[in-house]
Formats: sequence, structure tokens, C-alpha cells
Amino acid sequence: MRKLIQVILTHYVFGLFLILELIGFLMLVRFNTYHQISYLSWLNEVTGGWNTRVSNLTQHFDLVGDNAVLAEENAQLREKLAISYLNVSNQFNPWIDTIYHQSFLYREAQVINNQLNQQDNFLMINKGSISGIKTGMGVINSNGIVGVVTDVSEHYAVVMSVLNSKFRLGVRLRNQEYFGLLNWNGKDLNHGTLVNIQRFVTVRKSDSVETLGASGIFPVGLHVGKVDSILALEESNTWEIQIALSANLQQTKHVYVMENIFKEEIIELEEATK
Amino acid sequence: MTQSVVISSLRWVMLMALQIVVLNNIYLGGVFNPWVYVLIILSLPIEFSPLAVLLTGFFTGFTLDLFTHTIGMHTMSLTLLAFLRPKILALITPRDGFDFGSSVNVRDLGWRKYAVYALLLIFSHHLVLFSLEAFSSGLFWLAVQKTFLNTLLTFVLILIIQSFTAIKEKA
Repeated sequence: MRKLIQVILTHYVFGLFLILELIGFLMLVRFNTYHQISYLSWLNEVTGGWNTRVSNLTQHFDLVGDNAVLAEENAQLREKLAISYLNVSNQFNPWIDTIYHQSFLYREAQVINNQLNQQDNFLMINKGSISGIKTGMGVINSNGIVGVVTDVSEHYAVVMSVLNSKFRLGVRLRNQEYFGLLNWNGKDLNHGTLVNIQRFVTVRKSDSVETLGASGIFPVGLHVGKVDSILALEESNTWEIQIALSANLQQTKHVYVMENIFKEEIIELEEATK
Repeated sequence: MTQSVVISSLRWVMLMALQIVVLNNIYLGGVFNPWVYVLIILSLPIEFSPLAVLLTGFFTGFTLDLFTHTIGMHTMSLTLLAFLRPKILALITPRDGFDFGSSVNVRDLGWRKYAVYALLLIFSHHLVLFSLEAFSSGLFWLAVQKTFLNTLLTFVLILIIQSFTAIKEKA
């Protein structure tokens, strides 16, 4: 103990030097915008690399469940293949489709960090700007919507989860014209809140809720969840509807990032009308 | 001791004023950008303790940062210089110590010793400063280039300043 004190006393100038340099560095990355951005994006790369390692280690434990989910999805996709359709018409069908044009591209990615214990939850995925990921792209998994990309570095991207108090998405009740706004109450990891649906609309339990596709982030009619409970708000004459989210974000490993080919066109048009 | 503190304080004010008012406005060719204020730490009295030098360096760098709007850059680089100064000074100390009353300048140390002392310290300061300014590996070689050029420029300016003050002390 005496030796320890002696060591501290003889090297206290060096210790103080390190502390002062640390203070200097913290001030540098706190008060200078350029340094702050460089530092944060570097930190993003480092923590991303670390999260990849942890994820590589733990993903083996989830392989069985993941396989089941992927197999099920494969089956669904096979159903949609041209080979699964029987041509019942007698007329000749041309192969070149002039009516439908592909609008959304999908990129597979894996979740390497998934925070769910906060008011504002984010996920990190292992694809970044090199793979063509841009901010504002929608993220889904095989069951439902996961979130929207908010931040991109070279190899990683940060996704604002549906379970984030700042998340807003236009959704509608399936087979009805009326749409509302989906957000999160900050508590229940399995439920979102749908507001702004007028009281004259008939809402039943386990009605399907799907995306509106208004902002071009998600396609029209993507399954979001089912109505779980309905509450009448007297003061605004609207329903407050709890929705059981279908995505199950707690066990999400594989996700798809969606790129809308027509996004720029939508944005251009929106800005032209402003 | 009191006298040396007073002289150091006066030097502090004058060199800071020179740096902030005149030299900070000089940026020749986007490369030449001398930082003569490091002379404040270089010229501190020999009898100052390493702790006093370190703290002086930290607060001097921070003060300059406030004026140049680069919070942290000069704080870090000048703190490093102040930490290294006692170690470099020990390198050039004669075997039987400095003569009583001698100061750290060209006249008392001699050309060769002062050049080693000043160039090493200025180089370490400038290297950290310009690296922090670049703050990305892509700009590293530009930072190294600037470090070498400005080390020489700062050194020459320091010699010029010392030639004036030496005359003043003799008179």
C-alpha cells in the first residue's frame, strides 16, 4: 500500500497529464461539429464491429427458429411464383408486363444489435452505404414492419425501430378507406397505438391493419398487425386502437431493407407542391 | 522567484496578443500558419516545477482555443508540449546543472542546445495540433507536411523575437 502511494506520488504529473489530455479530447469532440461527426462515425464503425462479433457468437443459438421462419417464408414465396399459377384463360398472355413495374427492391441484412429497453429504441444492421443502404429506407422482416433507416456508415446502418416514441407511420384498416397514424406508447413491446380514426368507422377486434404507402417508404398494403383493443376518446371523437404488432421485434434476426425505385420521384413531387 | 513570475506573466500577455491579433490572421498559401505562442511554455523559468508547467500549458492552450474557436485542439497539443518540456530540458542539462539565474533562451543555452530543445518541442506540439485539425487518416500526409514547414517557421520567428528581447535586457 505504501509502495502504491509512492508510485502515485512519483507519477502524479503523468497521471494529471493524461487526465488533462482526456478533458481536451472530450472538449474537442463535444464543441467542434467536424470533430464530433468524425468521432461519432468512427465510434459507429468500432461498436458495429464489436456487435458483429457478439452477434456471430450468439446467432448459432437461434438457428433452429430462424430456419423455420425462413422455410415458411420460402413456401409463401413459392406460392407466388409464375409456376404456381395455372393459366385458366384461353387467350395468349404476353410475358412482357406493361402494367406492373417493379417498384421495391429488397436487400437482406442481419440485426447485430437490438435495443428494446428504452423509450427510443434503435437496431443496428450489418449493411451500410457500400451495400446501397440510404437513410429513409423501410425495414421489414418476414412478419411485418421493423422500422426506418435513420443513420448510415460504410458497413452498418442504424434503424429507428417501430418501438420508438418518435416513430410515426400512416396505416389503414384493411378493406376500409380510413387511415390513421401508428405510434408507440413506450411501454408494451408487442403493441403499437393507432390514433386519428374517426368514431363513425366500425372497428372490430382482430381486424387487419396495413401500411398506407403514403410516404413511399413501404409499399401499399403491407401487413402491420391486428386490432387488439379499442378505446373511445370522448374529447376528440376518435378511437384509440391498440394494435398487436406482427413483426415480433424481440426475436428479429433477419430483416429486409426496402428501396423504393420511385422514391425520388415522390420526393420531387412532394417538394414541388410545397 | 516573484520577479520571474512577473516576467512570465508579461510574456504571456504579450505573446498571446501577438498570436491572436497578428499571427492568427496570417495563413500564407493555406499551409504556413505559425504558432509562436508556444514560446510562453518554452521560456518558463527553469525552476518551475513540472506540475506548474503542465497546468500553465493546459490553461494557456485552453485560453487560445477560446479565441480561435477550436476548443480542445490547442489544449491537447500545448498540454503535451508542457508535459514533455521538463523531459527535454533534462536531456540538455549540463552534468553539473544550469548556472544560477540562467534562463531558457538562445543566449544562455547556446545555439545547438536551444535548437534541439525548441525544435523537438515545437515539432511535437505542431504534429498533434495539425493531426487534430485534420482528424482523419486521409488528410494525414497534409498534416505531416504542414507540421514540418510550420515547425521551421515557428522556430525562425521565435529566434527573431528572442533577438529583440536580448537587446532589451542588455540595454
